[in-house]
Amino acid sequence: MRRAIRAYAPELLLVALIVLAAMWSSTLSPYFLNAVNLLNSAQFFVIFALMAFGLFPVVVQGEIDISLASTLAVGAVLMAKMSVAGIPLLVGLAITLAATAVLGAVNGVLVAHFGLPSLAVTLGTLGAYRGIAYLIAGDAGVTGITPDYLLLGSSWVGIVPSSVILALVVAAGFWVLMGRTAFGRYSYAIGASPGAARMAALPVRRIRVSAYALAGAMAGLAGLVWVSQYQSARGDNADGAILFVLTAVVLGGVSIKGGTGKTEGVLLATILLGTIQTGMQLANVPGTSQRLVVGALLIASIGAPRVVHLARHAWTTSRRRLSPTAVAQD
Amino acid sequence: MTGDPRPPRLRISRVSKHFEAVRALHDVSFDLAPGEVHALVGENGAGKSTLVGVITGLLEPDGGEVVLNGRPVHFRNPLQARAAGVAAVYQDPNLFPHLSVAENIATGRYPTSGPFLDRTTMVAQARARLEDLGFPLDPEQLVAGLTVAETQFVEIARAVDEDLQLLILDEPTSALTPGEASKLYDVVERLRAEGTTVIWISHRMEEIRELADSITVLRDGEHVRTAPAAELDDAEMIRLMVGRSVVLEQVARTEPLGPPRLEVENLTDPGVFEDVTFSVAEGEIVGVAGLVGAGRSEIAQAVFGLSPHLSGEVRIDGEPVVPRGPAAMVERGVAYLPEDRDAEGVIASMTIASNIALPSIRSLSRAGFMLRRKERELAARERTALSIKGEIDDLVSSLSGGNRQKVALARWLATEPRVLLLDEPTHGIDVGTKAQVHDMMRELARVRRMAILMVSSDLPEVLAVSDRVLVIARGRLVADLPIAEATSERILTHATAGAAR
Repeated sequence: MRRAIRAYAPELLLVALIVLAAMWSSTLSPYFLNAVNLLNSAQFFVIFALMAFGLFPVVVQGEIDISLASTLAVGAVLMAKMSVAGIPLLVGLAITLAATAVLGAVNGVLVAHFGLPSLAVTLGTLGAYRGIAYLIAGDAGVTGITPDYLLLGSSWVGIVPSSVILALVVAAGFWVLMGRTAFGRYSYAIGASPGAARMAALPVRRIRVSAYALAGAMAGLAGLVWVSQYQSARGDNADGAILFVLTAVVLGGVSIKGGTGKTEGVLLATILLGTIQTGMQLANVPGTSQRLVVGALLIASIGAPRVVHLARHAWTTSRRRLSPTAVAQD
Repeated sequence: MTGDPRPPRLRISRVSKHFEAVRALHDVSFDLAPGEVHALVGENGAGKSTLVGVITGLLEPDGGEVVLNGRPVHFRNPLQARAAGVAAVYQDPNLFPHLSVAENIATGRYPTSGPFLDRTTMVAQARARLEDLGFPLDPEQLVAGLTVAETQFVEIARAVDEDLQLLILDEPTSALTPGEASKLYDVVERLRAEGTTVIWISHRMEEIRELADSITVLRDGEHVRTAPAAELDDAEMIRLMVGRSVVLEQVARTEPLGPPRLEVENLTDPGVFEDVTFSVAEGEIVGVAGLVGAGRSEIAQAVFGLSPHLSGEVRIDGEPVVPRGPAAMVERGVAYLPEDRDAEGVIASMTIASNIALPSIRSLSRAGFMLRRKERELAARERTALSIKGEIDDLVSSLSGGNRQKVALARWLATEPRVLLLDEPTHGIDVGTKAQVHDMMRELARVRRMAILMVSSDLPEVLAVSDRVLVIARGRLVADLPIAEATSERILTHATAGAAR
């Protein structure tokens, strides 16, 4: 029991924080704590959740991808264009996923095969992919999306929005991927020790490129959700969303240095961030201040392990200093 | 304790230290006299490193105290210890690679003129100190370009200053050539003459004999004995260390050798090694001796597919293979145990089971999904076979060096290799585990019919385990000696003769 609590301590903490955030939100609006309302708010975080799941294995491997919001924009405008061109939904989705996976794989190849630092590489493609999205969409963006492309954002299963179900299915998929497959095992090994992974003859480059391609495809899938919810697509879609996405991943307990983190944590952190953001909207906090809060949370979650470590050290030191033998020494 | 009016240089008094449930030091007490060389010996996990940590302020003891020159001290970090004249030099030098030798030596005490760094003085001081110690180093050279031995000299030069009271050297010669080691002996003898006390931690009997005035033996975190060096002979010292007597002995091979398993012809990696040709037969253990930096590890790594600029031919069981990468070589039945156990041999933050399964994941998964029961069975089997301490769900970080090495070996044995490349397989491992590893190697070669290539700087080990000894000097194979003709003297002669241009 104790062992289980210890193993899931970060997740339990997230659950507690979600409850607190929900209580705060419910004091702001009597409508907040209502199943239908909660689920309808949740669908606006599906886009972030899909991107966070995609980013998760990349961070576990000790790398980063900040270009994903631009990849989403490419995915969204591609989907919109194909909808307008009359291409059936599934064909359009397949093409979009393939294209965004290629964009992700380009990042992966630059990082894994050319040994370039992932932050710099994906900062470059953040700009480049955004440019591609503008080129495809044109200045005015794309509107007049056909109903089949809108279905995901405008249908419910019972009281649950379809896109929320999609996010949960994807979460389950990542739980299996990271916990039960060779890819997951390789990812944790590579993140924990790239040198040892190479010496153990693991296909390090292939696994890295796969993770980036998967992250790109997840951003493409998020692009579909975007089009279905906003019924249009433009080159500047989701600009800046990477802040929220990376915060969700790190807040979920995935070490920015790689090697650790669970799918459950990423899901819970996304829910927590969603609850906080919804609460801030109810409290009429301006959008700029919301970004300040999310940014501060990112730094706090990166800093938390360090703070815990220092606090623990200070605690043991002070206990020592108070013990009789130590006093006698001084 | 006696009527000596001088207080001991350092008194360790009833020091204890626990890590969670593990008892690293228990009620350890002994004295170090001023101006003596004091050897600290014990198996891995005996508590030597912990004790050094406690002395230098890296670790806080749970109980007991450290008394320097009659006054209890309570260093909170190694910087405070250094200010009080207590310095430690570790096996793995801890320097700034992008800075020059002089800058490294002056770290924290940069000479300045006004707000500016006084480079001229800094370089002059460093040069004077290096010359004084007899280390032939250019103070303006970057540390990144130095050999391991040279970086160690820089560390020592940094530690040695006027008011040095106590210098701790943790396995200082493990990466040094005999010539470099004797230079270090000279420095230690000079420090002793000047009244500095030196703690010398080592696994090598011959250097303890040569240098130590007194010896302290630790075992399982407890103080076993402190005695003048003359009162402890080698056999007694080993017996105190392990609690039983251990000898590295040859075990005669009765099984015949098979056909060549690994053949290497004209293997060349420009600037690293050239024109190396040898073979290892089924059931044979071939030792690779030579000086550090001669290119021995690089040859083993090249066979494992880690050298991009390789030419020459490699054959496994008669079939030519191109060592394009580790994955390809593992598929051909080659395994490589790296020297740097913690950075490359194991993943300390993962469990024993995950570590053992790592290179076998392809055969432990179906359509990409892990077969968890098979994985656990495999891990449990290898754990038992190699008598690894700890459960398969324990983290490797909780194991001692010897057990980590067993995990690193177990993961490869699980792939059932035909050719096993071992790079310093017992580096930094205690005497007892060492003998176990040797027995294991013999069984792998003789019973499981593997071809084993063992790179080792430990000559008694090379002589005890090998069927044949290759000597590498300056990237060339200079001798191929049957074990009957191999002696320490002959190997060293080849290794050093080849080293002189």
